[in-house]
Amino acid sequence: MSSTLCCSFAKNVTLRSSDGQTFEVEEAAAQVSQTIKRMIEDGCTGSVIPVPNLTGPVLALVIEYFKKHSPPSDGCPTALLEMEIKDWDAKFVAVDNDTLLDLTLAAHYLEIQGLLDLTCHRVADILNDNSVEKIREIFHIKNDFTPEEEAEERSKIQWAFE
Amino acid sequence: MRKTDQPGMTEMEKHTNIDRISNLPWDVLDTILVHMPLKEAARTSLLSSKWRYKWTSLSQFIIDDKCLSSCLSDKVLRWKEIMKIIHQVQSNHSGPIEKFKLAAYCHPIHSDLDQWIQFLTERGIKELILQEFDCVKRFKLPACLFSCPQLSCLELYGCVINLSTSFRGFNSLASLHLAHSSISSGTLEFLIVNCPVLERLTLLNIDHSAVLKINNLNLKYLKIDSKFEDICLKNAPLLSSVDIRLKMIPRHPDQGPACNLVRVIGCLYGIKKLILSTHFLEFLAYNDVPERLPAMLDHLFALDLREVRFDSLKDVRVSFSMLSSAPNLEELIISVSNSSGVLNTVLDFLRAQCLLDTYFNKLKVVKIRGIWGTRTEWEFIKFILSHSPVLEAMTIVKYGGERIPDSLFLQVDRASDHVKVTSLTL
Repeated sequence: MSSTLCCSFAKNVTLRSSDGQTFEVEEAAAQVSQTIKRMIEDGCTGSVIPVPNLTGPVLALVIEYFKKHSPPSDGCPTALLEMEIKDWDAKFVAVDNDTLLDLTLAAHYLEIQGLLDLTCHRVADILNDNSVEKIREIFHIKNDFTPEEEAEERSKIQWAFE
Repeated sequence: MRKTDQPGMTEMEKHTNIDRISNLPWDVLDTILVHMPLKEAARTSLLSSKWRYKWTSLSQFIIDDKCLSSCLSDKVLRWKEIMKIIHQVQSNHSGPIEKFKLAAYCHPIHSDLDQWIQFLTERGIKELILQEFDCVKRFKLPACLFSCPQLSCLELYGCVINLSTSFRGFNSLASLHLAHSSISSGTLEFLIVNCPVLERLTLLNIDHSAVLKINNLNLKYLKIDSKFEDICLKNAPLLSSVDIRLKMIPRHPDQGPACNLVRVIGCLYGIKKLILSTHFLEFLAYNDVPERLPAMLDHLFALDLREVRFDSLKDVRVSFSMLSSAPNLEELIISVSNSSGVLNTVLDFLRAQCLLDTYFNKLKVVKIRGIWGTRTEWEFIKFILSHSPVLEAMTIVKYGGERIPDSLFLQVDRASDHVKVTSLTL
């Protein structure tokens, strides 16, 4: 299988976004995504791998993530490298909320566990740090409760406000 | 798929004012919400009607002190509050629950806890963690828990463990932690034997004094702080971290002709980190302690000996036997028991060791805590300094009185040119 071959020339694959943009990336890096890994292993990829759920700009970001997280060619990652990646990750998800949700969904579709944990953690931090009213505003959530209903819901979880 | 036929618009503009978060796939939302404390996750139920039951449907629940008002000090009332949360979950939850952790100061009503654990087992619980709570009587675990083959982590406190006849082994259990619990010697042995993939085992304050036979091929970490009759670690080749504190010397520590040290520690060929404390050192000293183990512990890099009695030849001999069997030791931590007597036999033994040409060629860091300033302790310090050629740091903490003056260390023959000695007093 291609993933187990060790060759001196890195093999590339081409990924195509929903809006037809194509990106070339090292095969080993693209396999950070379990979905792409399976497609490559099953040999059903042809010359171009379609990624229909992601637009070009989002796929470009995901490819940046692939490159940073592709397994190092020279064996085990060092502690220093891990720290550097952690810093890079934190900066990578310090984006506007829409891009953050795009990346979250991309991680979900492409089964990139590390990116999914990273983005979900970041969303969780935003939810944690803000009031109910502020969260509605940030994520455009329409409050469809009547004041009475909201008061009733609040009384059910009184423990969460003490 | 997203529309892309709107030229001139940026990604951000396209999404403006659309509520996307409420419509994320459930497993993504679950991943987000389980990253939040339960209290904060519950507050999301006020966002909109779509969010009303999201928090009660999560795959993990961690109930800790932060879920309860700090003004609520009565432990029975605190349990009532916890039950309110549990009832809300029970009445709205339909999917699987992978993890439940109780880590709150409270006094659980046994029937409530019993019923909740039954609910969790029906939901395919994989990680069940019950941490310290107030209990006068041990809680009898429901039998259904022992027919959960998918359990991967089990941590229990204050429980009575009787295996039901339906117990077929925990084939996925990687971590078992039992504290202040009641389990008979035979049951414990049977339970451990039937955890074929166990990697971590912790036993703290077990009510009965068991014979611990640990033959788990995958076991990597072992911690025991309890009483026990005997211990056997023969078939655990991957064991790399062991921490054993024995509460009291067993009635029959003399288990056969072989020295306990050779029998118990001598077979830990893969050990990397070892923590042993006073009563266990005494237990290990039964029957002639050899100068070194028959096979070297080549992987041992950190040795921590707690409450070593420098007025006990047994303790000192066991400690030296282990030191001499660890050629690759990098870090040594010794704390001294609060006995201040000096035994001439110990002093003679230490002086004899100083003349030997055993060297610790990898030892970099030594910490000696709680010394009293006796002659035996000083002989030991001299021994380490003169036999550790690459030693970088030695820290000595003395209990009370004056700290050992630096001038004294300067008079000692040191094998390492660049060792930094730090002498402190408490």
